[in-house]
Amino acid sequence: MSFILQIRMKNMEGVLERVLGVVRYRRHGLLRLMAHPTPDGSHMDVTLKVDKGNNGHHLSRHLEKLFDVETVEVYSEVAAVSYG
Amino acid sequence: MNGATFLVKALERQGVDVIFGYPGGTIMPFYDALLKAEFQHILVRHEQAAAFAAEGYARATGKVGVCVATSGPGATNLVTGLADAFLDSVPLVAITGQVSTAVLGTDAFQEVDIIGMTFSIVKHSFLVTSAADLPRVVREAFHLAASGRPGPVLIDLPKDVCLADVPPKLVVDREPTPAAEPDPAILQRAATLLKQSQRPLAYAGGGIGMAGAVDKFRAFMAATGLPSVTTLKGLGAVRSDDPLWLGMLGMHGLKGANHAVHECDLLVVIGARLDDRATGKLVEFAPNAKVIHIDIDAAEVGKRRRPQAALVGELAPCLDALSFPLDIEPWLQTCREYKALGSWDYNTPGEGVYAPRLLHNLSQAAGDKTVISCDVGQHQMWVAQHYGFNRPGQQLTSGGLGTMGFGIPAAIGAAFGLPDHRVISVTGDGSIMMNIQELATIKRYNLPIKILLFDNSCLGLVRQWQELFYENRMSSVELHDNPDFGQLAESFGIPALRIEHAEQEGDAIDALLKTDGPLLVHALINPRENVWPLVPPGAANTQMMEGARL
Repeated sequence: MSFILQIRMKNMEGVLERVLGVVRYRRHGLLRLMAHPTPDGSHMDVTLKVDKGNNGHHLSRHLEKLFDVETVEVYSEVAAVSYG
Repeated sequence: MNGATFLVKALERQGVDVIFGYPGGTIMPFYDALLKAEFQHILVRHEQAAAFAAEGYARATGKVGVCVATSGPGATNLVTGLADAFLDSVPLVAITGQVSTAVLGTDAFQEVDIIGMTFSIVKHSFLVTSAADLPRVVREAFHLAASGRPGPVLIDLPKDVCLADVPPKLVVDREPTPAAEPDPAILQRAATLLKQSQRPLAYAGGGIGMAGAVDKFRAFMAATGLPSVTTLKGLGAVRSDDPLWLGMLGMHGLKGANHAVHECDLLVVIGARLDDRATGKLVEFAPNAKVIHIDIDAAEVGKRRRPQAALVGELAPCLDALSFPLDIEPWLQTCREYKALGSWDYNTPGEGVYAPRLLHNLSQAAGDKTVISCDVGQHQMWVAQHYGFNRPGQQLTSGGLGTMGFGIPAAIGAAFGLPDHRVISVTGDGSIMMNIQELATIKRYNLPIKILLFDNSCLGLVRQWQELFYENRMSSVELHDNPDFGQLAESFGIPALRIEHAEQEGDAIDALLKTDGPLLVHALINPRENVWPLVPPGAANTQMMEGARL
């Protein structure tokens, strides 16, 4: 079971490390990562696929607490495909 | 104005009246600017103590504590304090020196990646690479540390940034997201659960005090007439003489408290995270109860127990909305009977000092303007069980991290934060040696801190566990070669009093309460004394062990 997180964050030094640190500490395995800055460089959009899908909303709450993170959306893998 | 001077001025604008620190190479520009500061800098003797002192100040006053260290070892010595503050939600701003930006990342002398190594134990951290960022960073750091669920914030300050001019331009702050308003539909659901409940129980945590919501909480308790239990950090949220307060729950909680949690049909969790030391075996925790969980941190709600009503936001409006009378008299009578289960018998056999009795009698005599700063071990649990706290902030204890060495530096911070209060540090012979050097700080600033040292010549709580759960195999717990603590204190210029008999307990209490200036009371206790009751690790809270007193 896995799920997908779409994260919009301020493009600050170390922000990706902070996000990945939370994923590791909260015991989710990272299955896929895509990250790219927005055209003006002020933000970064990150898509993570992680395992342990029954706890996705809990992980998203921890990520939302990071000061540089602005939004976190959680999709189950099936839902993400249907939107994709 | 250079960055260092700007930082001093910025701390003044934040209302800082005292900071705790230790100088070194990269932070020297800041220490030079400190000479003209309007606030006091307290020179501790180890950076870890700076962090704990700042924590003690913050825990006692509710204000943001500030600590400072240089780069490299100075910064790494702060790490335990940052973790302690993070786990107990203490507002802290830690400032570390850093090597100049030109050599960052080159393994320069006293360079460590303190930002990288503390990601998981700070609320946020800033590496300031431009003096122009300082105004924003300082404002954001203080705001972040104190807002929402409080916590530590780290500012890592390269030396060249300290020396660079700060341009006089305004920088727009990023504000943290304000706490959400409670959802009216969930509030309604919570109210319905409360009205339908026959056996409701309040579970009060440290968040009540951290949120400054004690008055609202007590109004809620008075309106509903709920019985309550508290966590270690929640002690004091309910007055200790409240007839419907069943005491601390959990591993070393009171029997009545743990039984009430087991029997209740609704648990109203307020400002608490359902810590494993409090819940015991989770699947058997409050097995008959629905849960209303009120907390400012959405990540804590549902983390260990899924609530039927999750109220995320400030406590006060939630408690206001749930303040209505309940008709639960049969349950209250049961709780009164549970409370009687947990009453203590201080008539221990033997002629030695009995720590629980001494603490109980000290509590009776000391009054509410006394702050107790604990270390970690058996004495910490005895304080939680036998000292009656009547407001949060009266007990300073390392709850989440359980850090030995916390007590004395935290007492130093409290003494600066609340100079009109009596501050007593209760410690053990293991813990005191972890930051013994801070006796020099007590003496230097002539702080009237009293230290009550319970000495059993061993690491008592570890020994207890080895006795009970490792078939009495003692491994590295004997401390028979401790120094003479009285002589040690006196070498720091602090007088000491040694007691070893029960009839001396009263003299010790008199000395603690009446002596001017600092004092160490060195109380010898039975090395085989255990903390009871005890929930074995992995057991349900109702499976409490009780042993004979020695």
